[in-house]
Formats: sequence, structure tokens, C-alpha cells
Amino acid sequence: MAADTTAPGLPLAESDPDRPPASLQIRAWLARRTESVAIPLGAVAAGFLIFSLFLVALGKSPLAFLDLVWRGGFGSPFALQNSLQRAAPLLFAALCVALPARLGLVVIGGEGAIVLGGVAAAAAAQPLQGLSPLLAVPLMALAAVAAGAAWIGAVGALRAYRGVNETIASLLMSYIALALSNHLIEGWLRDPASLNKPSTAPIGEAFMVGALPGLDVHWGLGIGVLACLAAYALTERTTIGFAARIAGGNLRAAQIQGLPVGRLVVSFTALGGACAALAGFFEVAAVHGNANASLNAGFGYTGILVAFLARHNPLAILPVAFLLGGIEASSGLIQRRMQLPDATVLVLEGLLFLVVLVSETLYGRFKPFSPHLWAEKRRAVS
Amino acid sequence: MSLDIVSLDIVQMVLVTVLTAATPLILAGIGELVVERSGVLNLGVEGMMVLGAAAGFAVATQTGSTGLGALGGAGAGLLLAALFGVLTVGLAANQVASGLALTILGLGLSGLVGAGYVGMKRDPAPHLHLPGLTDLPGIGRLLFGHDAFVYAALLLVVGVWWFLWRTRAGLILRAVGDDHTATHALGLKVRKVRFLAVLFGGACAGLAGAYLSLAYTPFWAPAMTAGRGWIALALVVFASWQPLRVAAGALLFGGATVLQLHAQAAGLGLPGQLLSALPYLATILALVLLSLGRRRGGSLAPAALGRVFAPSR
Repeated sequence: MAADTTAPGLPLAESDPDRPPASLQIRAWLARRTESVAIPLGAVAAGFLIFSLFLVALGKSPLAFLDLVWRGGFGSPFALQNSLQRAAPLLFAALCVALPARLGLVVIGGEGAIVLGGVAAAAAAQPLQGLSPLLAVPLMALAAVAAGAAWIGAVGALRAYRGVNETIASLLMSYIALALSNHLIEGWLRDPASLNKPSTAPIGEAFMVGALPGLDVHWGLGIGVLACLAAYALTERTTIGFAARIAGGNLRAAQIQGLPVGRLVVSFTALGGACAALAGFFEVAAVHGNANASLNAGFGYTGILVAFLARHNPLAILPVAFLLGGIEASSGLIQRRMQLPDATVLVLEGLLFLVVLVSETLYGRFKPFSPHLWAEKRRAVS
Repeated sequence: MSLDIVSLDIVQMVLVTVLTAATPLILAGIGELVVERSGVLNLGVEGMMVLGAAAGFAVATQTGSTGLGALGGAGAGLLLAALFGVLTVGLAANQVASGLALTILGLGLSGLVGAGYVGMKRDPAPHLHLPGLTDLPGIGRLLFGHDAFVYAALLLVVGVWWFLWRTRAGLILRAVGDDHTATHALGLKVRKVRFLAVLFGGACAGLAGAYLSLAYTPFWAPAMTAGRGWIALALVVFASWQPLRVAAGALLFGGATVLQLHAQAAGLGLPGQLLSALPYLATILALVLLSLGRRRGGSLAPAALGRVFAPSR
């Protein structure tokens, strides 16, 4: 982006005749920041507007819908905690998309890594029975992380060393992971006591991960927030993250610079898989107490939506996951009160996704947000 | 002698089942093949398919006509594809993400469209019956005993093969998919070709969905496509973008599905869940093999697949 040359503090030569005046530089910086907030917010507003028209066409009241979203997702301490609880797996699932996205990769197989991570954690809990939870719970998490990292890391390796399209490969791997997990849950790992709903043996009360102090939300939220902060630090504040951004921006240039592109691809995809697997770990260790079909709840797919809405910025994932967690938390209420099928929330999510994608094409097109670009045009004309 | 005919009939029964399981994959896969040949990657097949299933069933129930239902399903898929086309071809939005959004939207819309039809049942689409021919032992039902969807799917494969490799328009479509800059410079309408290809793919996916709800099951249930759209996507890659191989691959994948169902029903020692992963494993293997082939020369994938074309910028 040409915009970087106008950032304040960059050592441009004093005598550079093309250098824009300082006031314009600051304005440009402010305008870029405003743009990166205003366009997504505008897009979300537009998405809600289109959805409202859709509801009106169905003969339902958009205001009643918004009211129910508010009450079901945000309006009370109970609703808030419910939303946060749902946001926790979304944080991890979104990181599985956002981290590889730094390298320009679109990985959409997070769902498989979540389920596999949950099964790995539940399986690891069995031989660890009797150990101190302080030792056993991290080992369970480690088993999950290893499974997820290997699974999505393999997608990265296929991409880096065989040139296999990572989007399709991750999706295929996701389906294989689901089949493998179902096979394990219904076969080798099945608890004979689970008759109607095949499950693994319970991990045991002692190994359950508790709630955050003072809240009814499990520790997955806290670790998820930390993971997002760490991912932000990694991508924005380290040389590795910088190298990944270079490789994502221009692969050829990165290779010529001697950056280890292959290793970067494998590490970032593996890291993403590890994050997704943590979502599965917390679903098992903090929610269900064993691994069963409920692990395949679509967090991986909503996570893709979260990552794209957040434009793959790990910090922006936090509010977006909270928003979508709230919307999903209110879906039951909406279903009951408005006699709308539960698919309605999917329509809203799909519309939001599409509108945000359209808004991606709008960056730099609004004069107030890009004074530097428009000033350049003016100079070019005169 | 009579024993031979009995075993022939069993073979025929299995083949008929495989072909019915393969038909939705053929329909959706051949549509997506044309889309990808034009250089566009539409990951929304599952969404268009499931909306086609819901809309097809709704139209058929309202009008009482399976034919109109099939048209309705294809039309619904086409409309959703048009939205995708406006976004990716018109506005040059990210294709992968738009396809995913389309799947989410399609699943949501199908839930709304089909909400009033859950639990209803229809007679399956009528099967062809030619007196004499259909009753031929061993091959009669396999050749002359299917519903119109199956024949349409097979005709479509041959038609697309002929279109892509034997017509000028097909050549243009493949050229657009291989190098949009060069074809644009030649004065060919890159975006028009791609938009039409996307519409065709949507109609095919919608028809595949309508086949599921009108002939295969035949009823509507939410998310009834059960990942067949994704298998169709894998199938196109597996077939290395060749129409006839799509049909062959669909029979293979359909066969795996049938085997899985029978293994479960018969309580055989085969792990049904693992069998369901076979098509995906096969496709990954095919992708790796394709990448090895690429080392030796020329990739088989359309060169401009998934790349954004924005001539004015």
C-alpha cells in the first residue's frame, strides 16, 4: 500500500519534493484509522438493514427481532455470560483462520481440528486418571494442541511443499477429521454406558476446568482472549510476524529475500490448528465432560465468519466474536418468540458476511477517509 | 443359467443404487466444473444445492408437478449464484469468502423456505418404463429404468464435454479461465463469460438439490444435502477438471456412499464412519498426485482459477 509512506515518523528525506505536508500526514493517519472502523461498522449496519427488509417481507417486526437479540444476548448479566460462553470457542476458531491469513492463506478446516482436539483431550484424560489435575489438565490440553497442530499443519505442509490448494485441502481434512472422530467416539473410545448418545468415557469431575473468578464463564474465554492478544503480538510486533506478512503480500519477494516461506506456512497453519483444537479442549473439559457429537456444533464455520468480519486482525476478533456469540445465544429466544426457524440466524450471518465482503472493495474509495490519495490525484491533475 | 440371471440382477441392483447416489454429485460437479473452467472458484455449492432442495420441494408441493419443482430448484440455485456473480465477478470481492458466505446464506434461506414442508412426503419422481426393454434381465433397469434426473445428468456430462472441447464458445470459456488478461486484451467479454458460467453452475447445483428432495429421499429435511456440495467440489478437483472424469469420479464416490450405508445396515465389520472419509482421502491423494504431475509440466487446473479480475483498476 502506498499509504505507508505517509505515516508520521517515517524517515522521509527532508528535501523530498513529493513529501506531503505534516498536517496532511496526520490527517491521513487519522482518516485511515477512522476508515478501518467506519467501513466494517457501516457494513454491519447495512447487513442488519437488509435483514430487516427481509424480516418485513416475512411479516415479522425487525424491532422485535433486535429487541430479542438484545435481551437474549446482551441485556442481562445472564445473557451476557451466555454470549461470552459462546464467544470463547469462536475466538479460537477465528484464530485458526486469521493466523494463516497473514500469509495469504484461506484455511477453512477449523471445525475438524476442534472436534479432533476435543477427542484427543478426552482420550488423553483416561490414562491420566489419578494424577493431579494441575498436571493432567495441561497434558490434556497439550494432546489437543498436538492433534490440531498436526492436522492443520499437514494442510500447510501440503501447501508449502506440494502446492496443494490449502482451502480445499483444509476442508477435506476437516471432513476426514470428523469421520475419524465419529469412528473413535462410536468405536474404540466409546463409553459402554453411553447408550443413546455415543460418547467417550467422562474425563472425571477432578479434571473439569472451572469458571473464571466471579463469572459463570469457563476459563476458555480467558485463555481465548490471551491467545488473541498473543496472536496480535506475534503478527504485529515480532520479526516472524513481519516475515509472514511479507510472504503473504508478495511470495516471490519473500523467497528472494531468503525468508523461510515453507516453514512460515507450516508454523502458522499449525499454530492456527492448535488454537482451534483448544476450542475443542475447552468444550470437552469445561462444558460436556466427555467427547461426543456435540463437539461438531459449527464453531469452526462461525469462526471463519468472525475472522473475516475482523479482517483477520486478532484484536478485532474479540468484539466480533462477542457480537456473534450474542446473536447465536439469542437464537433460541428468537425461535420461540417469533416463530422463526433457527435457520434465521444463519440468514443474518450470511448477509453480514456478504455485506462485509462487499465493503472490503470500498477501502480507499471515500474522499474523507483517504485525503492523501485524493491529494495525490489533485497534484497529478494540476 | 437361472443362477447367473439372479446374480446379474443383484449386480444390476447395486449399480442402479450407485448411479442414483452419484447423480446429485454429477449434476453439481459438472456445474462447478464449468464455473471453475471459467476461472471462478465458487465454494457455495452446498448452499445453492440445499436451497435448490428446499425450493424444489416447495414448488413441487404447491404446483403438484415434479417437473416444475425441478425447475424451481434450478431457479433458486441460479438466483443465489447470481448474487455470488455480482459480488465476485462484478465487484471483484474475494471468491473463497463469498462462496462460504453463500453456503451460510443458502443453509439459512433453505431453512426458511422449507420450514412449512418438514415431514411432508411426496411420491418420488416417476421412473422411465419401456415395456420390454426395462424388463430385460440384468441390464434393463440399469439402462431404461431411471427417473428423468439421472438421464439429464448423463446428458449434461456429454453436453458439457462437447461444449468445452468442440465449440468456439467452450474454447473462449476455457481461455478466460486460463488467462483473463490476455482474453480481455483480445476483446472477449471476460466478466460476461464468467457470470454466465456462474449462473450455469448455480442452476446445476440447484437441480442437484431438487433431485435429492424430489427423487432420492423424497422429502425435505433441513441441511439434507449433508455435505454433498463439498464432495462435488472435491470431485471437480479429483477429476482434474475433465467432464467425463467427473462422471466416473461421481460413480466412485457414490459407490463409497452406498458401501458405507450397506456396511452399516448389514452390520459388516467395515467401519462405516471411516468409509465415509474415503472420497475425501481419495481427493487429497489426487491433489498430491496432480501436484507431482505439475512438476513434469503444465498444471491441469485452470490457470486463472480463483484469481480476481478487475480491469478498471
